[in-house]
Amino acid sequence: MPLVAQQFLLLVGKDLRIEARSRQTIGLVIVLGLLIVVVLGLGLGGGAAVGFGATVVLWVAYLFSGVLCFEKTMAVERSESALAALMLTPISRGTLYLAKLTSNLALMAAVALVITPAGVLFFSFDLSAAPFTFTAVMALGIVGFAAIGTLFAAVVSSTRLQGGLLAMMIFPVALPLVIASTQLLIHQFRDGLPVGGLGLGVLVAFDAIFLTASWLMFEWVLEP
Amino acid sequence: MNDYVIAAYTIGSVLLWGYVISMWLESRSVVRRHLHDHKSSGGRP
Amino acid sequence: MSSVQGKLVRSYWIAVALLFAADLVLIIHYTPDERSMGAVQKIFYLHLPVAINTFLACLTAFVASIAYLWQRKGWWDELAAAAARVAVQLCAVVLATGMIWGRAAWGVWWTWSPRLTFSLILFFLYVVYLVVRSSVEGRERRAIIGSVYAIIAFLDVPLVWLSARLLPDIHPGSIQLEPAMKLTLMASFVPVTLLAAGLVVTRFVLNRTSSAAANSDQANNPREIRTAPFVAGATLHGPKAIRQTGGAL
Repeated sequence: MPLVAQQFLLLVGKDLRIEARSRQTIGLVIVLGLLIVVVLGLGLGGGAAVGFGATVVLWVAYLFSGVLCFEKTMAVERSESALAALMLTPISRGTLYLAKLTSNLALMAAVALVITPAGVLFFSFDLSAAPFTFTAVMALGIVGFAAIGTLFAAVVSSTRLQGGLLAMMIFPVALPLVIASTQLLIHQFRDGLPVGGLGLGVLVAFDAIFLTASWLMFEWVLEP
Repeated sequence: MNDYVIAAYTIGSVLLWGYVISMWLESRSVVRRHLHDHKSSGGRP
Repeated sequence: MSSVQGKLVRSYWIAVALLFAADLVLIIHYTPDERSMGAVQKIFYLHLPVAINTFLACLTAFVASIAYLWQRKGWWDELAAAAARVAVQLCAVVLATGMIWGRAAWGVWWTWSPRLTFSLILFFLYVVYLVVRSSVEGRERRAIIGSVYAIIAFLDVPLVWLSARLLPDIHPGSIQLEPAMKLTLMASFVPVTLLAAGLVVTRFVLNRTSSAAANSDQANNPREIRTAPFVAGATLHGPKAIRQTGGAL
């Protein structure tokens, strides 16, 4: 196995093991996501946003719980100068990025597995028409979201003011994902149009562009 | 001339030229402040 | 030397103001009303040039940020910051005129139409840039983070534009331009672009001047003072020059 792959698996394994031991991040993030869905369900429920509103509700839940998730996975590196030690090793910054990204995606996948059924339940969202399309569209969106989230989390973790800074940086940049996926799914489920064209193009382009750009620029934002 | 058109151009012009004027005012205070600092730290008269 | 610079700056802004006024006269008296939308359509002659210049300012910040990350010279970052600030200012004008146009044409102050949504997101993208910059301490760190964000933000712009096109456009109106209107539109670009460029350059010089003033008191980097001609000229040539440059800037 090539060295890069070994390093990558080592890093991802480390992150996931830390998480499995403490289960701190995953618990917080899932509960937060569920609560968001519940609050929105209570507020909007009763006909106003039944069905297609679920997509936006899910995105709101993903956005906020995702921000928390990215903050915490980066904060892990802050404790006991773990990041400084990591940067002294010959591991390339690009590999560090991909490893962090994968850990984040693993956690987001776990979150999505819990929150999405909850959203579907509370909003009576009928996915039977195209469940694979729904999953694929949301997956593309979450990949793009995590791509910039991982980069920006590294930026924010090195500044003193953390607060809402990460959310503030990610949300405007991630809006094309939200718009494209919600419009795609509305067209699919309400109008029965096949998924494709501009919306899908935007999602794929977003992922490709920002995965590349973040991977390239990660080294400059890392600071022990 | 349509009221909305007048409103749009008024607001637009006020904003655009407002930006210019506020920068002009700021530049005056920057120069004044620097002269003061320089004098007080013993620079050339 | 600084008095010549001062005179140039003053003449520049007087020229821009005159062109602006002339353009207004052109719009009011010469240009005919548009067939389908009537007199309201005339907002377009201010709205579009400002919108294009907003995009150019964002592009300037993008290029300057790449240049900074490549060459690591401080003034690239200050150019990016100046351009981004002007982009926010111009975008505010785009939003204001766009909303008034929407109200006039279709009776609502806001609608999630492609163009308005795009302007709003663009506005927030660059407001965030300014907030992020003010949150980071240390000049070099701030410059690096600012540059990375400015690059990401600009890469996002076409994606925002395309995804906004997916939104339902409640009132798609295609504007038909007669030759006289095309002329007015081209003419309107001149004062607006000159104004926008002037804003960016002036903001840039102000940034440099402020940072040079902050550095010169420590007297540890003589190079900084030389690169801020307005301030250096003022202090080396005495109070008389300050009165002249202060008035012209």
